[in-house]
Amino acid sequence: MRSVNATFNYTERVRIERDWVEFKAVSDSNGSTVELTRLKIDHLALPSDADIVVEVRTTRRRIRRFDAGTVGSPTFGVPFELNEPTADGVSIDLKVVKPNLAQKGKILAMCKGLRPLFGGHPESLLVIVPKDLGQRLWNLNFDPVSGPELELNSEFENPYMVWNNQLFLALTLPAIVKSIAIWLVENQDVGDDDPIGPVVKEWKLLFSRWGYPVSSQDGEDFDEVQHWADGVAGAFSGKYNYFSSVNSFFAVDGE
Amino acid sequence: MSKKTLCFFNSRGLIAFEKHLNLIRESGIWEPFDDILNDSTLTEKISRTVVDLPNHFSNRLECGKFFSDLFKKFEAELTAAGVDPHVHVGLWSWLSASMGEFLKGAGKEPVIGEAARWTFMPNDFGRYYRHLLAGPYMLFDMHSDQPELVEILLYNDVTKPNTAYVEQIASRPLIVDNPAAMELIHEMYFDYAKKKPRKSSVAKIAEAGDIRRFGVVFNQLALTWDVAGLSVDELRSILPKEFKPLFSQ
Repeated sequence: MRSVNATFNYTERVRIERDWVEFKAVSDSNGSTVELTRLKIDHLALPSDADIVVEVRTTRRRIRRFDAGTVGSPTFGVPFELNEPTADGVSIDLKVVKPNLAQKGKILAMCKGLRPLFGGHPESLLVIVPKDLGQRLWNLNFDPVSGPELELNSEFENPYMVWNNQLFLALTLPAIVKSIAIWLVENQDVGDDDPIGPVVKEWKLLFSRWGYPVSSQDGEDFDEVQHWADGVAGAFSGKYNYFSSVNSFFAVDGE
Repeated sequence: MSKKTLCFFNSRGLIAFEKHLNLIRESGIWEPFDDILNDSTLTEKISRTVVDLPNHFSNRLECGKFFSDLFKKFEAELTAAGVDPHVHVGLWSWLSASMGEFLKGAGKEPVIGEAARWTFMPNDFGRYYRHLLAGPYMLFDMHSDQPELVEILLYNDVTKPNTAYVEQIASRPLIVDNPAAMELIHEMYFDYAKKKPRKSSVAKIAEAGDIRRFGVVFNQLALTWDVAGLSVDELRSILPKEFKPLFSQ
């Protein structure tokens, strides 16, 4: 049964819808950053001197905070260094906070659990490509140069915002990760001078961070590779607690 | 001290480790992990340099500091191997196996307990800190520049880590990763002279002013206040009066 308390807001704070906010994350060999790229809250009539505070929850179990200006003057496009190897898996809370002495630190408005957009940027590992797919929602393509590309139906109003939809992610990404794992085993020996070499290297690094180094697979035994790729997909789902996070989508009313 | 070359378990090694652990759990008889530690098909080397792994830590703080220093020393090798100690399951399982004699406890029968004590669960907010070795490291690393802020979480025995403080604080990132909140918790509940929590600051069920109530109240306050942006004085001022007797100021 759902918690009754969770449905009430006693705090007078205003809810900021996820569609009104957008962050971009970049992870590369120099580290990882997050930056605010869009914020549409003019209609909320919040004080223009109220502070905008961003809290990034990272996979290292840390909360990294940064200031993103004020309601009257938000700071866009300034990368905030996470001091961690990857921005993969981060979750972001954005708060609008009272700045003055009386009730300093009181939250006026908040948006929780945002995920940054990785797609559409050259730094992204999984490149998102809007494409005419008819009735299909998505397709995974392996480009000989850019590697795995997630093709999303271009009829989506904003294909990139699909990345902020938890249900979509939970239903599709484990399968995508499994396919990429198998592709990675097949391509693990390509050299750095191969066009796809740098992409393979980045994916290998990512899989190692998840505890599944591709070097453990020689690719000889089909069943073993499948089993290993299943393990990667399982670990990936566990990493984002997908079952727990989407279970409520399938709850029957009244239960 | 035992001399080892720093390694991690690969996916096969992890399976072998789990199987071995289950065997001990079911039989109640301790069997060292030597066979799987020495099997080169189950492990990947991080460095060729031999490291000294202690046979004992006097408390969790010492354990956390040891691994913090070790990983700083081998930072380049860890990065090259794609191993981030904050999230790498294979590394911590290998370390657990290597230090198994100590981690099983000193009693006649080995104490295995729940899986999270031996297998690091970095993606689970409610369990990551329960790993016997990774838990102290993660908590120490969070405040490595001010380790006195985590003493209440690390004062105790490595093999008996579960206190109400660890469970209530470490599972709440808004508290454990908040220097002001940690300072206030030490002021309220920790006896620095005795290096342990004050007596009677934990009841079996949540009581006014105890650490369990603190966790619940802090979560509620975080809905109204930007708690991570408040100073110690400001946090004191928003806590309800049940906590006031515990303030030193």
